[in-house]
Amino acid sequence: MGKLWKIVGYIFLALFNAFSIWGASFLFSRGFYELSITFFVLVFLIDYFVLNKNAYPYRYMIPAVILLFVLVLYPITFTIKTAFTNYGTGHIMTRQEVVDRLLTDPIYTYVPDDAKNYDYQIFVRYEGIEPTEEFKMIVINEKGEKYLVGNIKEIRVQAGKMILGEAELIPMEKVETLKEDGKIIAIIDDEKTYNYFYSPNDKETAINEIFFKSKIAFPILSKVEIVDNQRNRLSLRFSEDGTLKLVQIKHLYRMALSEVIENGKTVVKTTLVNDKYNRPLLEENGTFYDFNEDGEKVPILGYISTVGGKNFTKIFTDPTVSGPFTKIFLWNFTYAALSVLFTFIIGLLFALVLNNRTLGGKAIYRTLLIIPWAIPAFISVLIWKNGFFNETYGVINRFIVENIFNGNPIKWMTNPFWAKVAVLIVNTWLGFPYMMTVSLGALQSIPEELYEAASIDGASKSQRFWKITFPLLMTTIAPLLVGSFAFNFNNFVNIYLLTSGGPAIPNTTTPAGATDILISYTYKLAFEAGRGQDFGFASAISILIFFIVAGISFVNFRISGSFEEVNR
Amino acid sequence: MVVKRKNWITHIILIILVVLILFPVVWVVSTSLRRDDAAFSSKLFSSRMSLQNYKDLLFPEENVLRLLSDIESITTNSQPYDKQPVESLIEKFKSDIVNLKKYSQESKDLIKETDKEYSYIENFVEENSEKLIQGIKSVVEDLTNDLVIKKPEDEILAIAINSLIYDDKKIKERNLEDIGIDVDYGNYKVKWQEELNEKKQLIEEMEEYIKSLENKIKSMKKDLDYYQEEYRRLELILNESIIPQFESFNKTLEVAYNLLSNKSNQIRAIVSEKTEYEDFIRIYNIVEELKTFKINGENKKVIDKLFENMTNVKLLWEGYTEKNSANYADFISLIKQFNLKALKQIKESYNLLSKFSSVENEYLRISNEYTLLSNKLNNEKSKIEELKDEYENIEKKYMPGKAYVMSKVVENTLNSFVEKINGYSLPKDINKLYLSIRVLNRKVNDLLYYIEDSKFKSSIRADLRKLDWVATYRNLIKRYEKFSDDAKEFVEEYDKYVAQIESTGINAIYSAKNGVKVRIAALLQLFTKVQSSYPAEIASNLGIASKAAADLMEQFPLNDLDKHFKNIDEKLFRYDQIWKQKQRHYLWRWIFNSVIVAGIVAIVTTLVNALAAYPFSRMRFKGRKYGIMSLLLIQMFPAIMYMIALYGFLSFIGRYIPWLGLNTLGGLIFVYLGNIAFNMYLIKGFYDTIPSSLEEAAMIDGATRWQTFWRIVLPLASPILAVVVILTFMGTFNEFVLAKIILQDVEKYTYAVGLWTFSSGPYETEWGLFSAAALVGMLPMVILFLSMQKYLVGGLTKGSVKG
Repeated sequence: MGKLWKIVGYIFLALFNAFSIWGASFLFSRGFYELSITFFVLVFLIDYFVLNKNAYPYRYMIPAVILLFVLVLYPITFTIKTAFTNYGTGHIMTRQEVVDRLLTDPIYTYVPDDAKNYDYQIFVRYEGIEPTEEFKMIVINEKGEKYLVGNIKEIRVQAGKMILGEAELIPMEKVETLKEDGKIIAIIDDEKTYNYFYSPNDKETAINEIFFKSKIAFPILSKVEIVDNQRNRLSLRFSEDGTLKLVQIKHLYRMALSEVIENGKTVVKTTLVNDKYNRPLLEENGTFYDFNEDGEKVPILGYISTVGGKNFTKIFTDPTVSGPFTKIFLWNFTYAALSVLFTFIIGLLFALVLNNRTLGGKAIYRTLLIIPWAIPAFISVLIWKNGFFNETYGVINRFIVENIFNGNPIKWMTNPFWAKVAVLIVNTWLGFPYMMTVSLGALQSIPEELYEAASIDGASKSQRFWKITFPLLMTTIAPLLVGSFAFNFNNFVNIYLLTSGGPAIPNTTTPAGATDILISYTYKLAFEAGRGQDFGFASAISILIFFIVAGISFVNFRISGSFEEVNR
Repeated sequence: MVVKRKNWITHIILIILVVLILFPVVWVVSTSLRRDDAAFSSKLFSSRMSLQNYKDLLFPEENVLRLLSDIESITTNSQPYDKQPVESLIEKFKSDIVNLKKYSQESKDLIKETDKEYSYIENFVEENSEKLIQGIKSVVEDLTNDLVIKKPEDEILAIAINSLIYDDKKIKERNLEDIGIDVDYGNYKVKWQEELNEKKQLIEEMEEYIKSLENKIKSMKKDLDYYQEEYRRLELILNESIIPQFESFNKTLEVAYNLLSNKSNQIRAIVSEKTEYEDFIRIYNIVEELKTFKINGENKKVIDKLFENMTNVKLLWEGYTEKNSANYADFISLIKQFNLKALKQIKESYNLLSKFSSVENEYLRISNEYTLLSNKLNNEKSKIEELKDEYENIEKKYMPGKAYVMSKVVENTLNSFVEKINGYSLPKDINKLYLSIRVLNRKVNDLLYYIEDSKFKSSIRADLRKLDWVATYRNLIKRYEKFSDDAKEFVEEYDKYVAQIESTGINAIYSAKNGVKVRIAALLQLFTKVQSSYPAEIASNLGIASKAAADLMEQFPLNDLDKHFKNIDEKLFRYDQIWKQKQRHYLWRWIFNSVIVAGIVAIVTTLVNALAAYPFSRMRFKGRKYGIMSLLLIQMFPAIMYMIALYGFLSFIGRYIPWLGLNTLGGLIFVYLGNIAFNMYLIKGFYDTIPSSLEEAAMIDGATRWQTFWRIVLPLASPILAVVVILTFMGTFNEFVLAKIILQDVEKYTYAVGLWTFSSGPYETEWGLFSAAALVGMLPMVILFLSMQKYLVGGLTKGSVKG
């Protein structure tokens, strides 16, 4: 029985191996190098765990290790790699993808000066009286010869949609048609009938133009290149009078051998060449540049490329980045420190009051005061933002500032100072119950005898607090304060939901705001495309954040002796 | 005794603080129950409560518009009905029609009821007309008593009267005797004129003058800008091209002069001199004229120098005799070149310089004038400010006089008001009453303008507010009657349309099933009718009438009607719910999504943690010491940044495994699973408390390590596992950021993202819906939290607190 299980286990392991290695190679072929390597390492580790008897304890951790590798370690390595690249808006694709795109995308085509014009007719299948999007096209060349456009082959597909298609011309002899007065009125293909629908020069079909343009020309035909028997490429293009003409086109860029100066030496390389002017493209800083008529550089497409430590050095050297960055950095520390300070002071005060033995109803007060902590933070923040800090409708401005103090409405969201005040108020409200609870716990663990001894020695109340309560309290609470600091240092939700980091800091090239902390700044850099995404810079900052927070926490673990506790 | 007293104070302080701290919670609860637009209301709390917000969010009613669009989908056989058999379509259609008719009946009943209430109120007012009028009279009497103002000195009074007659035109001379003011103000006319009126007129004149000055300056500014621009342009040409040229001319001329003035050497040469001298003289004449232009500074010197040089050369040339010397030949060839260049240049320069000097003159002139005028304007402005201050100070002195006069005017109005309303009977004369009260209001407000005592003011205003009910009641009458008529007509017409739809609907369903989709004309018409004419014609009256009824509950002087007003308000509100267009909400869907996601994540991560924590508790192996800690450290990496990598990964996976891609709950769950290790520590700690003797015993009996874990340790640890499941569930339920990045469709949102949409964009002021939705999500979480308190605190502190 045990043997059978073992065999089943090994078969399972073999299948797992096969699948993972196949998956890893597949990922590798699609450019997910880090993930693929992660998978390989993972498979190796798991095999080791399962096959090696000494690694028995690790077998329990296999699921955790899988999740950890795929969802934590891979993203971290990816982030570290990204920190050294220019990945972001304008540099989204790999170099290979960009080259592919420049070579094939219909945008990068041009109509040569001696281009030939072709007439065309569209035939459409009807369903009842409604035309459908199934169509056939006849191309008529200058000599009046007619050809049918064959089936469209998809050359490039992105997200399930065709970006580029190709079709060949078929001589009309091979096509079954219906004629009336010598004109083709219908095409029969594959047992379907396509009726004559539209031709640019036939005024009688002008009413069908809109349907043709919106349902056939733009979504399909504009992305198709028709190849005739002389290998000429035809495609629909707008002419100057606004009609869609079928013209001969050429691709603007092609691959060619050309001489390039590299590190002072002349090297022959395959590069992209502008076909129209026969000029090689310039490649600089992860961007392809073409030249316009005046010989000026025009960027066309960028790709992901390594930029070295630029994302890190820019924090210090670029004044449009370093200025706001310093502000954010300082505010981040102030915010975390003040949050800890305020929550601790208020929490401790409540704890001291509630620690009174003679006070009745303590449990009720404690439960009520814990409610701000119990409410999910995002809900509380939204309530504060929507109901209280709104500049026009908010309760604080309308009922307290105006009615009680007769003041002007406070600009909670547009004035940097008040925005910071708002953020701190909310964070204190959210955080003091935690401090109260832990302080209460710590206070209760202080032995009563100490106080008795002190009062016998004639210590005053304040002396008792500062000499006994506070020092004893701090030994247990200090690590928690540091932990709370680390937590608030990255307290993204509060900032993001309340002010979105705003109001914006002027004169900067990055989306920095006055209440932004590093993490929200990073988030904005990466995911809010208002000024363009900059994953590279965002990754660099997140690495910085990691070192700050991990440093704080490591020291904290050390102080509180958590490592030893694990070892116990 | 002392201790108790102290506690009593502590309790009060604590209660106040708790109320303050929990105010946002109180606010959310009260706002979610409000029926009016809390964001626009002037009251913090409202007595018009209803559960409508919760109903709309959780149990939305298929009201008329919803039913109509449902019927539209049925009869055109479109989603979600396109795959159902005809029989069930017909059944649904019939039930929809029944519901439509039910709404018609309900509307009629509602109006009938409100009509009844309304006429009851009308009768009541008619019966109690005298009482009500009496009430108004007593209010007016109170007003009259409160309005008594001490009579000021005659002089102040008289001057105030003069100024009132003249400036404010609030009273006419002949009125004065009517209101019982007997002061010979004519005597003080001179003093008034000297002290007040002249100053005032002066101020007015000055204001007029300042205005004209400002206009003038404005038009001058335009000219100034033009000349400034032109001047800059010309100056640039002058400096950049003309002056350098002149300087080079100067050098040439100096060379030429030197040539001539040198003692001639003995070499002879043949000189072919033609028109050089004439040309030179021509240039000379132009330069002479150039000299007369007014040009400033260095440039002028250059031109003067040019003229000087030319004069020198000219004089020397005219007196020169050795015209066949080589010197002279050189001189002539130089001059030839000079002439060639200079003639053209100097002519051009002449044009330019003449223009430049005229522009410069004009520019200087205008800018001088401009500064002059601006200074003057500033002067005048400060002067007028001073005068105004002075005037205001003087005027203030006479304020009591004015107030006294105005109070007399108001008293007079009040008396005549009381006389007038004596004959009124309500509700017949409500309009007249309303108009008289409006006049009264205006007069009193006029008076309040002259009074500074804010206490006095607020007491008067409070008196006046007691009359507000008349305006509100009139509003109710006007709006309600209009509403009632319109609504009845509306429902009747609606019935006709519904009958039409009922008769053609079934045919339409059949034909749509056979491929011919026919839209029912009556349906379309009715739809637009309810959608556009209802809010335009009926809802506006309904809203005002409903608000008036609610306000009257507070304002109406007799309390007997409160019940009826409330009834009207509520019935009208219900009527509105039947007809108005309502947004579709997905709260259930969001909560469901959240529960699914959080549930799966909680169970999976707890299992993974339970497994992984075991060796840490029971076995010795490499990496044990730093294993969990390094895990915890790794998790310090800002998790949001994982999203850069995971976003691309998810969108890639999504192409092959659709339910795991972006914008799917599967993808979100996948991403959340990365949040392991936070609770591993807690579980490990619990394992440590389970005595290992149990396992040892089992192992002696032949159980494998895995079996002891699975059969013994895990069941014993089930309490802590349950706690971890709940904690993880709560944590995941409350997560917002990752969900917002991954999910895009409204239907796929989790509760957190959904609630966020309720607080932004068009919902920003829909506080009722927002707070109700917030409360729905908040309540279970708060209860869970409070019941899990012990473990939460333990879990949070355990990592760091020893012992």
